[in-house]
Amino acid sequence: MLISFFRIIKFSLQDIFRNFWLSLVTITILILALFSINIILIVKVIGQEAINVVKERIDVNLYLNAETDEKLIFELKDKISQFTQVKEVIYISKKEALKQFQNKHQDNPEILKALKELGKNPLTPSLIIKPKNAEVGTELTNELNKLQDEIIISKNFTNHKIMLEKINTITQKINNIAVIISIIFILTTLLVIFNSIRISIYTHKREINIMRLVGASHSFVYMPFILSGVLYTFFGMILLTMFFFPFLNFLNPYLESFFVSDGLNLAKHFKDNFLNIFGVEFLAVSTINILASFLAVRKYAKI
Amino acid sequence: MIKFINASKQYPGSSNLVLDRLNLHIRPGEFVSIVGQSGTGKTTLVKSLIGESNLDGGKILVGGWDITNITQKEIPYLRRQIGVIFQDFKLLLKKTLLENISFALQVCGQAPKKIKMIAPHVMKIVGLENKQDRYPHEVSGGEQQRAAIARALVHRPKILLADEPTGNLDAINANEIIELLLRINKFGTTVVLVTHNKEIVNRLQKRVITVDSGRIISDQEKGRYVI
Repeated sequence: MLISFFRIIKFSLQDIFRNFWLSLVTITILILALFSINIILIVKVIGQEAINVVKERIDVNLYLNAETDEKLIFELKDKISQFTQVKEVIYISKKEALKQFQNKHQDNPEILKALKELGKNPLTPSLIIKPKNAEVGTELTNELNKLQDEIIISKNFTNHKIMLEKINTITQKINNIAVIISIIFILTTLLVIFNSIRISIYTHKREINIMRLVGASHSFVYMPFILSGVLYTFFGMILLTMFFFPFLNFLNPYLESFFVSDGLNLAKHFKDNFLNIFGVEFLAVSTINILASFLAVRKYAKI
Repeated sequence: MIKFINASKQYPGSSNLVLDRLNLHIRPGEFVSIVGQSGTGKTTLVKSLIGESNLDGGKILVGGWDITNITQKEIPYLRRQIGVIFQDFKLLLKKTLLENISFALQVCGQAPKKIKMIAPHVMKIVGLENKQDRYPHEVSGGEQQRAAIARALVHRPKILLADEPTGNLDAINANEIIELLLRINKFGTTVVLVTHNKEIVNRLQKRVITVDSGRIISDQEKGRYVI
């Protein structure tokens, strides 16, 4: 039994290396198929990060009376900082607000001219309130609505709730469409893999016939091909990781500059979820290969 | 050794019987040539003997074993007891000649030590001891057929079926193969030769069974090719 087991492994490896080009093509197809599935995962991760970034940008602004004493402003700032939903409160003074305004419109001389002609700073101090996350946004706006203070002249968060709801709705719809597209893509990829293995075994049709003619048992006919399918997956996964992580490292700097943060690191994401992603891919593709090998050999072993 | 009792076979979609209540008895140690035109049932006879084709009626006995309704599981065991060689040699192209011969032993779980003893010995019998590491495409047609014979002999089968073994060979190689088959027969193996080759059959002076339309029309102990 043990002898037969090692023989099956030997035949399988012999077959892979003696049919080098066929094996190479099969493994290449597997790598391309898995790579394309991983691209979908990358798009999903980037998409999710983009949505999170947008959600985090939903700040609440409190505009304050221009003549307010800074002491009162800091008191209000401390009070709001105590809210459990608040991540951070940033105070923008009149001067800073003017500076930001001038920087924003530096390419617009008419606006800068109009500001100069005013003779004074028309802008007011404000508090920018960052929620801990998008989910507590509504709670935070409710708390801020209850807040009554004379120094507050305007609260800019009435549209916050609506915007969040819109973002959530759009996000949900995008996710649903992405799931459907992903399923179609994954099914197509699995069919490509299935067919590649069947074609590979078709080229062994004569060999399977001969194995049956000399009296090989069922297991001796099936097992080398089934094992080859698993080995193709194994070699494919190893080669894929060798190309994939450098590809992610190449992509990272562009993503960091786009998101203006170091929060998104694709290589780290895939490393942290290595078993979940690559482990599941290995199991899924191995299963498909085993099934394809079994069905193809069964077809040609009936002589 | 081999008995066909009222054997009948009809392929689906065909109105003619390929084997029509054929009765045949081949005794142990005989050398029998089966001749006939194409489509008369010779190949169906061979296929039935190795379990590749089931009969629609009648029986087949091989060494007392009724293989008429043989199951898929039993077929490998039948094929280990009957050596078969074909016109197209049917060697595994990605294995050396020695590996091809060893393979027939490996599939039945034979120990590596025994295989290392038996395979080279059988190669010597067929005159291929110096070509063990050659691949089929690196040797001649005659040598490939000898390798196929060696593979058929490793199990020491009591029966050797040869279906048109000289079909792809020139006259000299064909004669060498026939000489080899005669030598094997001298050692006690029953040889059943299916052939179109008139010269070979007439030279052999052995039993000749002529098949036509699925029936035996002639059975002569020292026969000739009379079609």
